[in-house]
Amino acid sequence: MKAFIVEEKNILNWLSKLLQSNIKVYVPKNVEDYSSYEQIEQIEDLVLHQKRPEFSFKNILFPQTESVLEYTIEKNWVKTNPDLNYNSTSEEKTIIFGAPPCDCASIIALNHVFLSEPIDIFYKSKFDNVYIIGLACTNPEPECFCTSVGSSMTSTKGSDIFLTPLSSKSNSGKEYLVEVITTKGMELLKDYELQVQKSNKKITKNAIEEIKRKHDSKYESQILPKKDFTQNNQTLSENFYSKDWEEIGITCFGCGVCAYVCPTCTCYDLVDEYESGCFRRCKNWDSCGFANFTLHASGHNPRPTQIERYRQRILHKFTYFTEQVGMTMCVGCGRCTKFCPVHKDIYEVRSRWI
Amino acid sequence: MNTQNQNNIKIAAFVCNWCSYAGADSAGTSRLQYDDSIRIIRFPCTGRIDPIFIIKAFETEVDGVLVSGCHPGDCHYSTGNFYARRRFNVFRSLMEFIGLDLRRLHFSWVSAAEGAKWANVVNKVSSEVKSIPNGKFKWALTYHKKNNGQNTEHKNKKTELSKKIKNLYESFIKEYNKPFPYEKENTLTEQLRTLAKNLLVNNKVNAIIGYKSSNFEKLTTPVVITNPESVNQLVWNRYCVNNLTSYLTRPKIKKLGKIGIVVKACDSKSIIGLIQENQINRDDIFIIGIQCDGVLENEKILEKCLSCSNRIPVIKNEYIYDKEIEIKLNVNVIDEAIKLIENSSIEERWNFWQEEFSRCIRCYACRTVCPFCYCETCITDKHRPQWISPSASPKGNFSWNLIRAFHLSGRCIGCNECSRVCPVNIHLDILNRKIALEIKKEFEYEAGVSIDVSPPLTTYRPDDSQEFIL
Repeated sequence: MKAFIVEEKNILNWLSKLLQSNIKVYVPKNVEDYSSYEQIEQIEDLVLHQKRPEFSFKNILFPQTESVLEYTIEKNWVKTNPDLNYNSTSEEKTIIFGAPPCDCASIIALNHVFLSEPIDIFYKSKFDNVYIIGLACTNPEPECFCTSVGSSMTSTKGSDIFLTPLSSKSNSGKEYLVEVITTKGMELLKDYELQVQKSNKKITKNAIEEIKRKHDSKYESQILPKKDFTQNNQTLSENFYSKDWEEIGITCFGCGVCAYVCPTCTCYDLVDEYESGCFRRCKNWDSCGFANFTLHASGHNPRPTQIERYRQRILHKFTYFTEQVGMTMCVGCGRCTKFCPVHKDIYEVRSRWI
Repeated sequence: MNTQNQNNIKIAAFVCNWCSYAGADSAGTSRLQYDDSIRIIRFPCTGRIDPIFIIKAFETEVDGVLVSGCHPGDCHYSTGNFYARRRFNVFRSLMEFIGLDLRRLHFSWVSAAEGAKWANVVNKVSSEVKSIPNGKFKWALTYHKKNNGQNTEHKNKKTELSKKIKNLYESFIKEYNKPFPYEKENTLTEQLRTLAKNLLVNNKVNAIIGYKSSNFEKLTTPVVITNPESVNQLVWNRYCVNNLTSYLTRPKIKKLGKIGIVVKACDSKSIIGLIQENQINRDDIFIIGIQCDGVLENEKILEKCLSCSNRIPVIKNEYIYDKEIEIKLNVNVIDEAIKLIENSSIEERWNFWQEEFSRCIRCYACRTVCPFCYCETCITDKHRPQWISPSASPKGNFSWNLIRAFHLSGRCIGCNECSRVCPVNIHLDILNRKIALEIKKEFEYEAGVSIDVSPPLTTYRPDDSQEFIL
């Protein structure tokens, strides 16, 4: 849409302006025992170019536990809590700053699930107020394979505004290429002006591509080799009954780590809870790896063992979703590989059938 | 009953039907006056009282809990209260460790004839609860409207204690993280492959559970081998961190028939536990012990390896080793951490564990990797009634982690897989180790040592300690 070059200090100034106007800002942050997107109060708390956080920003838009209904029982009559009325104005403006491209891309998958009919109002009320500012990845991890799922270290998919650091040559400090991707990003810049370099000429499309290619090629070698996971989904479905699944699935323990750290996993469960005189209906994360996930009331379980459950996870990410949306549901962040208790490697599993 | 209840406190009393309930009845017929803060819940026997009932009571905002039953030897069912006594002994020390003021948790023996004793016990318990400053008790509650039901009181609020513990762990790892003299990995791998091939070819086992190398240089992943031609996938090196014995109870693995399994010394202890608990048949498994000089994850030696005192598997059919092992560090960082926690104040302990559990995301990785978490339906998956709140909220996280730790008491062999796989690094190792130490102290029992000894909470002695019982 629009692109310009901005100095790092100007971006930081802009961000502190946002912080002062009481906008919630979340940035990748280390909180000792793990790293995730955390809210910051002041610009000093921001550390740029961190590693991809261990948890994605999924929980800002789709909290792990969210109450969707509250009710009390008074005189044998159910009374609901009218305060829980979700709409776009009930949420505060939130900025997610410095998210790597893999996390930004997850927005597309999340939107497809939550914003297609019937719209999930809880998600929508948050999404309408969230602005995502992506930052080109400069710290890939060995498990990463974003290039294999049609993304890259500089992919702008899902972001409203995207920043790419320029290999600096000037002495005036670091500079960034700022691309405004969506109208949402445009509006944000209209409301809060970003100071642009004075001697700014119009940047051509080719120049942008050149910058990005340079950046990508610098980091490509640090991640898993590029393979094409976006095509040939048929091969996966054709191998539905392959013996390999048995070999892969039999060592899966069936915990929920892969789904909980995954930026695109959207399954949830609804449970009722009681506390202090009030009942709450909670929307909690769920995982297709759990045995209870597909358990029927009759006791029948269509996915009786981890073998079927693990296959479901892979096929959902790479086949079913791709058929519907045209992109893989996997963004190649490699978190599931990193956290798997038995070091199961999603990249290796997907590579078996290309 | 005395109707004066100035502090408006509530005490839940779990009593056995035959003694304490009748005792309370007798207090009533004798028109004895006692504190009215007590709410009596009748059980068939104290043996029926699961610690989760106590946790549940605290969750429903009672200020104190009293458990009361028959005197030892008087149990209507002969032995119910003996088992209960052991259980509550452990549970009490666990609650003390996580920072519950023990003035809130009491146990007593009151017989049917002891109406006067019942009145005294109730008065004593309620005066103790009332003597706690700050009146009403705040358990780890969830309800917080502004934050979508999430109470973030403890989230990311590191206590001094947790910083100390972190430093302690780091200093230990730094000091002892020297590469082990372990050049023989390839020889051991070769021996393992030969043995595995022999076993499979001669039909001594139908499958072998071992490790294979992964795409990543410093990781291995478990593998189940059924074909003798694929034995070359097997490897043995310092990155073989998993405890493979957790697979032994899986239905899919059991169906394979006789299983060969590669175990380190620490893992072999869990096989003892599983046999003790009748989960596996000794004849159905072929145990391949292998020399282990410590395993690494992320290039750091695991804490359990520092304190590993016996590097030879306790139970095995074959032992693959290169030469006798000399390395015995025997420094226990977890024990040091426990001392640190025990020397802190109640508030510090409470806040420390609240912060730890506030991070829990309820992925249940701790449960799934645990060799002893083999229940078909876990207590946290039961929702009629819902014992443990399934939401990742302070309340649910707290009960979940406490109950899991308690369910492992006397069973956990300290493989520490739970804390290794925890994505948010909750110190489950400390919790489990604390209970193991308590069991050792009270019942002179160590898990995973001998098949012939009964696990401590499934047995009793008439003279078990009961100083804590009123």
